[in-house]
Amino acid sequence: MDETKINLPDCCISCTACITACPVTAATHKFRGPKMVGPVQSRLHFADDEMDSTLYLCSNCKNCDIACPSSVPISTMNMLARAKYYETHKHTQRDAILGHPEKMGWLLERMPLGAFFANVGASIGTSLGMVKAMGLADERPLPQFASETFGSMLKRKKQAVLDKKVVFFPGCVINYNEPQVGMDFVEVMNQNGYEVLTEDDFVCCGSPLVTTGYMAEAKRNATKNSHLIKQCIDKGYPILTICTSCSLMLVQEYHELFQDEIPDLEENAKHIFDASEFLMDIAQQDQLNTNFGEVNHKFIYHAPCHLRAQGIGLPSLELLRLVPGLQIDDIDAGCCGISGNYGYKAENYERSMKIGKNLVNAVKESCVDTVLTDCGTCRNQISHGAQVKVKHPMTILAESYKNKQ
Amino acid sequence: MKACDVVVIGGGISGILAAIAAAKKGKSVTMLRYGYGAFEIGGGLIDLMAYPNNKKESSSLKNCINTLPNDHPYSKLGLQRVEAAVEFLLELTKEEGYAYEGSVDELHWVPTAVGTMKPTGLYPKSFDAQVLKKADTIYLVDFKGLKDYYAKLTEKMLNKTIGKDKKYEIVTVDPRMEDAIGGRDIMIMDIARWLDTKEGQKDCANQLQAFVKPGAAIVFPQVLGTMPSYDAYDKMKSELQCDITEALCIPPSAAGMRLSRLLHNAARKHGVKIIEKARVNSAVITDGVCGAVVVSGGGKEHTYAAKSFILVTGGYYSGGLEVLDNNKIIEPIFNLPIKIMSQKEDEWANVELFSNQKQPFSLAGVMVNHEMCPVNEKGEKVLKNVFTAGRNLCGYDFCFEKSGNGVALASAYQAAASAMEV
Repeated sequence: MDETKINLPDCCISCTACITACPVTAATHKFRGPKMVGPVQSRLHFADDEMDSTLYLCSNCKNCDIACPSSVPISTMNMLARAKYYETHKHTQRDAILGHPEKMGWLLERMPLGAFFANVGASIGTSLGMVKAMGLADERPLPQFASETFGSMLKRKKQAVLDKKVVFFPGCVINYNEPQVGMDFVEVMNQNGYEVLTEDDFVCCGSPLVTTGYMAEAKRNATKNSHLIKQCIDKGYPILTICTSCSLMLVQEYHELFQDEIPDLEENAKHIFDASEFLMDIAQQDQLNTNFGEVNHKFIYHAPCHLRAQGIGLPSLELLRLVPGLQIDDIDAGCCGISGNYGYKAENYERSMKIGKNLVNAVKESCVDTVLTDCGTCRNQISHGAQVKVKHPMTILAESYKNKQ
Repeated sequence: MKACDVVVIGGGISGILAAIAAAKKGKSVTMLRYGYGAFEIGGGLIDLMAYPNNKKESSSLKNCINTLPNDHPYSKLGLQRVEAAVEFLLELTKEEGYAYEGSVDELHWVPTAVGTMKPTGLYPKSFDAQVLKKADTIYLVDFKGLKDYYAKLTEKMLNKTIGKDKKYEIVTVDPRMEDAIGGRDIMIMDIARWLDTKEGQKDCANQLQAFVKPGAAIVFPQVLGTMPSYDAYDKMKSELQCDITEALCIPPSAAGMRLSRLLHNAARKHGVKIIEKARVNSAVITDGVCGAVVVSGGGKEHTYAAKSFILVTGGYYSGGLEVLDNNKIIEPIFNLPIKIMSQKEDEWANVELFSNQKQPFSLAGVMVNHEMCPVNEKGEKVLKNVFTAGRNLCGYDFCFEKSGNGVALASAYQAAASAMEV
C-alpha cells in the first residue's frame, strides 16, 4: 500500500478485525472499540472537538494495529486524540507520576537511600490508603526501585575494550527498577564480542508520556533521543534495547507521531534493534556465540503485545530454543492487561486483571514456576496475577553462557 | 541467510490454509502476516460455488465446474483437486474439535438475519435452514439491547421464505449487559462471548426454557460462541430439546472468529512460524527464481529466505492487487503478469452494481497454470518457485459466484502441494 496513505483514517474499510482483537473491548462493554474511537472519531474531528467519551479506556496495547489489514495506526490515532484533549484539560497528579517514571527515578538516585525510602514509602502509602487516594491501584505492588541504577552499575563494570560496539538504550524500567537485567544483557553481548556503551543523556523514550497525554513532552524526549541516536549511528554503533515498549516507541511510534517534525527518524529506525532481534540477525550470519551451557528448566514464554506489533516475530523465543536442556513454549494467551501504566491506575485495575485472566489461567495450568517475557510491566502483571517468577530472556541467556564457563 | 522450506506471504484464509497444509507434511513454514485477513467479514462459511454464470440459476460446484471459463481457478484445478482440498478442510476442522460439514456435490442453505436463505458449501453444523422446514413451530431468539439483529424482520421474511403455515414466536433473552448502555451498543460478538462461558450458556438456556416447548426449531442470531467449539450449540440443543440453527449476521462475525481461531491454533500446533505485522514489499529474484522476500516498514528491513514462496496477499482491499492512476493493475511484490478484462476504465464495472453479470474488475488478477504457478500470456512460468492463491488469482468473481473461501481453500491447498515439490 502507498506509504503516504498510512495515516489516513480513510484507509479503514470497517472490516471489524480490530474490534474482535481488542482486549479492552472484550473486557468491558463500555468501550466503543478501536474502530469507533480511532478512525471513525478521527473523521469527525472537523465537526466535534470533544474526545470520545470512552477513549480513556484504550490501553494503547496495539492489538488493533496488529489485526488491521489496512495499515491504519488506530492506537496512535487514539493517543493523538487523548493528547488533544489534554491541551485544554488539566492532568491529575496521578497521571503526572505515571507519565514520568524517569523523574521519580532521577530524584531517588540523588537522595541517600532514596530507593529504600521510596519502596518503604510505597508500602506504607499502600497500607495507609494514600496510594488509593492518589488514584493508583493499591491492589498490586508498585514497581520497586533498585538501590543502584543501571547507568552506575555499567560504569563500575570492567568491560574489555572490544572492536565491535553497541549502544544500549536502557529505558526507565531497566535503569531504575531492574538494572541487573541490563547487566545480564551486557554479559550476553560481551559473550558475543560486543562492548556495550551507553549514552548518559538518553531520556525516557516517551511511551508513558504518550499514553497519559503529555504529547509535547514526548516530542521533546523524542527530539533529544533521536539526536543522540543519530550521533551514535554516525559512529557506526547500532542502538539496542531490551524493553519492547522502548523499541516500539523509538522505531515505530516516533515515526507515526512525529514524522516530518523530527529529523532522521526513518534512518535512525534502521539501526535500532530489540537485542534479541539483533542477536537473531547475527545468528542468521552464523556470527552468534552458540556456546550455550545447559539450562535444565521448563519455562513458558509470553510475547508482549508491543513486541508483536513490531513485525519482527518473537526473536527471544528463537534464541532461547538454542539453549540445550531448556524447554520453552509460547503460551499465546493474549494481552497481560497491564499495558504500561494502564493497569496501575486505580480505575483500570479490575479491568486490567480481567484482560489478563486468560494468560494468568494459562500460566497456572502450565504448572511452570518461571515465565519469561521481554517487557517489564508484563513481568509485574504476570508475577502479581499468577504468583510465579517472571524473568527477562536475557537473564536466562546470561545464565546459559555462565553455565558453560 | 538461513532458508526455510516455504514462506507464505499473507495471513488471510488462503495464507493460513496453505501454511497448515505444508506444515502438516513436515515442511518448515514461516507465515508473514499483515493483519488478520477477512475472517470477521467472511462469516465463517466456506462458500464453494453457487452462481456459476448468472444470478437466476444456482448450482453445486460438481454440477457446474465443466461450464466455467478456462481461466477460472476451479477450471485450472479440476474437480479432483478441489475435492481433495475439501477433504483436507473437513479433516482439519474435525481434528481441531469443530468439524465442518458439506461437500462439492450439493448446495447447503443457511438462514440470514433478514430471513433470506443463502447458499454455501462447507459449514459448521449450527448453520442449517433445513431444520426450519421440518418444524411446525419456530422460535426466534432476540437479546435485550442487541442492536445488530431485528428478530421481527427475520420473522417477517421467514413467513415468505419458509412459509406462513408455521407458528413463529419471538423470545427475548436478557444477557445482563447493563454496562453497555451509554457505552457501545451490544454486538453479536458480545453475546457470543457471553455464550463462550458456562455461566452464560446456563443462564441463556434457563431463560429460554420458560418460553420454549421441546420439539420446535430455534433461530439464534450468530451468537453460539467465538471459540471453535460446539459447546454452546450442544448445550442449547440438549437443554431445550429443539433443533437449532444460527442465522448469518453483520460483521464482526462470531463464526468468522471461530474459524480464525481454529486455523490459528492449527497453524501453531503444526509448527508454523507466524510473524505478525510483517508486510512484504519486495522480493530478491535471480534467474526466474525467488531467493528471499523483504519485510519493511518504518525504515527497517528483514529478509526471509526460502526454497519456495506462496503469495496470498489478497485483492484490492488488502493491497495484493493495486490499481495505479494510469489504469494499470499491478501485483506489487513480484510484479506478476495481470489479466485484465478491458483496457478501458469505464468497462471495468457493470452499470448496475447488482447486475446479472460478473464484474470485470473482480475478474482481474494473476494468471496461473494448474499448479497455481504464475504464468505470462503465453502460459509460460514467470517464477519457478512462487505460487499464488485466493483473491490474487484472475478469472473469478467471488462475490457474484459465492465462491470466495472455496477458491481460497482449493487454490491454497494446491499452491502448498506445488510449493512442497520445489
